[in-house]
Amino acid sequence: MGVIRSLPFILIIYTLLLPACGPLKVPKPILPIAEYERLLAGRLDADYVGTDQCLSACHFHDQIRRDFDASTMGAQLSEETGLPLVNCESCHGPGSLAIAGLTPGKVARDARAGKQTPCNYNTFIPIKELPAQAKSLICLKCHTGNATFNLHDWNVGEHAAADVSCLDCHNIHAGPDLKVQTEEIAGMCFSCHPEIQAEFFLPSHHPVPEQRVVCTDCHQQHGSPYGKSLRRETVKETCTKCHGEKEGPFLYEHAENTEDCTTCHRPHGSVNNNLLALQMPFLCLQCHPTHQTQQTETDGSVRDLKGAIFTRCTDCHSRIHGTDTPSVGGTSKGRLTH
Amino acid sequence: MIRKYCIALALLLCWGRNVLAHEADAKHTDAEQAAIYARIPPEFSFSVGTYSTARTGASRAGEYDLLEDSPTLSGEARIYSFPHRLHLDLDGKNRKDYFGEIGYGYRNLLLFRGYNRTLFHNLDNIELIDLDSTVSPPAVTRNDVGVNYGVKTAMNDLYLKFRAPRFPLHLYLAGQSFNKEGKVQQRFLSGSAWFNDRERTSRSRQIDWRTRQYTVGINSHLGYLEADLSHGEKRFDAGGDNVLYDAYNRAGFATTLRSADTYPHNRIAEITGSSNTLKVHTTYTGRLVASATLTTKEKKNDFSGAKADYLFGSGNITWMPINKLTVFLKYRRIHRDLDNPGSITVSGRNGNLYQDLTVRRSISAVTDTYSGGIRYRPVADITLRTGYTFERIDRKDAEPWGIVDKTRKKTLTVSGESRLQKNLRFKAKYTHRETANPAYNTDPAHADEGAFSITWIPRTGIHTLLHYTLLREARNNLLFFDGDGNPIDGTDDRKTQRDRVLGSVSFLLSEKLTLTTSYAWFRNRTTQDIVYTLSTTPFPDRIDPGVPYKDSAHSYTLNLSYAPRKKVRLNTDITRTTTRQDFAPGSPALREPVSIASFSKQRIRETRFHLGGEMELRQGLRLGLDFEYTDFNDTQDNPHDELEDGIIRILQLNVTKKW
Repeated sequence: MGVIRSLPFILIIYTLLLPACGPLKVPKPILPIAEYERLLAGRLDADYVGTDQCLSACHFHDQIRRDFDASTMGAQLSEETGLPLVNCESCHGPGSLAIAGLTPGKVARDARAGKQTPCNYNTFIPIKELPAQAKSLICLKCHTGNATFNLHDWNVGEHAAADVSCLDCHNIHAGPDLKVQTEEIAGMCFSCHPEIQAEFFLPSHHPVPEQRVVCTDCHQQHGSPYGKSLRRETVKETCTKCHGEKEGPFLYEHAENTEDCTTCHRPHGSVNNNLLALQMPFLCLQCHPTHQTQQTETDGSVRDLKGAIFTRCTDCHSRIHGTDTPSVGGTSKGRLTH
Repeated sequence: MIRKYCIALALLLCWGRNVLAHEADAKHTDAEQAAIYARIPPEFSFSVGTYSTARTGASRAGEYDLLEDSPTLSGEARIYSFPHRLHLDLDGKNRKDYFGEIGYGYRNLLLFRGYNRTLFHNLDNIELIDLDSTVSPPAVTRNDVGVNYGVKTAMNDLYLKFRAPRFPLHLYLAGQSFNKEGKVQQRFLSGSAWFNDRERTSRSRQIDWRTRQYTVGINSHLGYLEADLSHGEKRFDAGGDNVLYDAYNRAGFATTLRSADTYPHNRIAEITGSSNTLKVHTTYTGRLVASATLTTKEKKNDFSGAKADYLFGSGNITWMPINKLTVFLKYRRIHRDLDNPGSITVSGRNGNLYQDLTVRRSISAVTDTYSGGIRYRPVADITLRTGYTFERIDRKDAEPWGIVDKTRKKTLTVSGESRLQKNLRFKAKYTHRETANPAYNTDPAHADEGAFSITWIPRTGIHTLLHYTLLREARNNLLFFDGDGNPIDGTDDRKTQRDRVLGSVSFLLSEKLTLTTSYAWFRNRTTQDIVYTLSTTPFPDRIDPGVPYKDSAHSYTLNLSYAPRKKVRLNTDITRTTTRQDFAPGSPALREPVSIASFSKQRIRETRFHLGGEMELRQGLRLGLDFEYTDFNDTQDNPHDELEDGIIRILQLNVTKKW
């Protein structure tokens, strides 16, 4: 624990040493990848010809050019911006074979005729035919150092293991912003998880169909080391992001049950109110006996108590997620009533 | 706190020096800037309209809608004045339901994003019911008859990132806040809470709860290794009626006497916490990828002094020895250390003390999880996966709670997917779990889950899907504890079964018309013992064996998308969901004169209809229509449950102009 507490000091030292790291201040690929891309293209004699041969020629007037210009990657197409250089060939591989035989004159004539000059697309990396992991690698070779660090666990995440690639959600040429918009998220997730979408049809549900809450509020789509692709370490950490009043710690805990909210709740949807997994009181009776149903009076008569106790448990046990106040009944057994 | 400010200052100074140096290197004239950055015209859109609602009955039908009429206002702007990029988005339905987003980028050196989502949640006013008025007590006191409950929830996210020029270093600040404000129902026990003087009560309480979390971090990649270090602070503040006071009668046994007074109850405590996280991972460009995360968290209850320390650790290795085979190895550790003061004293407003009450120590635990798995792709269209997980839970201070201190879980998973034909895809998964010493009755000793889905495209324009999941769980040795902490053994095994079915067919009837229908079926069944007691002297604990519980739902959906003309789009959805839930105790003591299941018997039929349309006019003008109809019908009409019928209609009309 001492090491952890000293992390802030390590951070300061790291920061102060930073200006001394001059030799590292050169943008360069993490690994040489040009040979790898040539191999994927299938021709070792392919070579890199630069973006000018692509966007400034055939794609000059089309939407791909406009979308790229409006993105960070578009700005990176120009070396003078000082940004790490990214261009068409960074993803599509070397383009010399694709434009072999094309001349500026033919491109100009086609442009005057109002048509786009086709290049030999078959010589590029066959992205659509690559396995999902290889498709993702095209992105990860640069975005592995993503500033949000949300790709930290991509390789151990459910999506990577299930052959989902970056391109299944991010349409690189669709627009200037590669980020999936908030209102698109649920539909995108449900296209592969329709059985989860069906749970939101149930009468009690989180407002995902209403687009007030999105799947990625709870789930980390880019991979998570935690179960169910949760964005936070545990179910409780995830739920108390919004339901902070139930987080605790409390003086009187509900044993360990509040560490896993799914013991009692179905997070997507339920037929029962408050997303309860089962209807009360059966939900509680799974672990707890019901109260005594009768009481013997001093005169020996037996009085029925069912009217008092056959109700929703939380009508009386109102602090079921934990409390700091003892029960009112004269004992201190943590009944979670107050 | 001073230390944290120093860290932030040092980081910002470092970033500032780098940026200034970069600016000096990269000064360009306007003409040069124009040559470097493309000129892209800004895009603007602005929309005004109306939001009209009508309600009959309870507000449950529009659970997440503010049911009052309002003008609407929306707008969007995208400005690419390189090197600046700005995106603004606003969508306001009414004063308690709106969405806003702002994004700004400067080169790739600075990125700012802010989101706000605000919604209104209608809450039930549950009517407390005296199930057997022939017997007294209980008394039932409703202090909130006719009160409408609801909470406005605002979710704010803020993200600010700085990148050092010409060096792979990022500093970031992430902030989140969740504010809940409104009025909620509080149901509680008053009187003396002793059997002769028990009173079930409901009242309203104002809430103003705020959860704030801030994270500051730094990350970089250093050759093959990338690292991220962050520090977070979290705080939950309870405003409004954070504690309630009500009069209580004298209560309890002589040994634990509590005098009559006005005592606090249902307190919402303020919680503070902090965390430190270190993440490292290798690059993804090799056959071997490794990552690890270590997080420590501290939480403290500012009222009671209860504390919780957590350590979350994970390590992962992904290894691809040959192209067809990938091996996954994972390790997780969660160390939870809870501590509480061990006693508490409660003061009444008239000076009576309810003091030195002993508090049981909370349960701490260490959970280690080891996983291994492989993914094997023998041929291009077949993928097989298998995995094995061993979970070890060691608890501390569990014995006073009647909970075992060691639990072991083993899980085996096998799954596969294949494209059997060009138009037929099949996926299946099977999971088996064995648990030694399950801690709670709801933890199964044996669990089996199977699932499959088939996607079939019989002909162009027809897409079908069938999905089925079956979960079966079982355990014996159910254990209960009576009011004095004496153990009671169950007699029958507990069995649960969950079924999920989804079928869907989509028809592409023409280029203009798409029709999708789907059907979903859900069923939960649980059978287990219920323990009850008839009389006080002595406590003859009795068992009603094998009580069946069942809930189920059928959901039918139809979606129609129609684009009669190029500039006209219509979309309509109809969903009908019917549910029923009930359980059936066998013992007459649990059924007569009133049944313990009396308010659990529910049947709901909910019908939702949505019609949306959009028509583009000239010069960037667009007309929009959105109509929702929801009928929430308590078909059982059980007077004991909390369900109430309601119908809502919401109509939105808007005009949008785009430049």
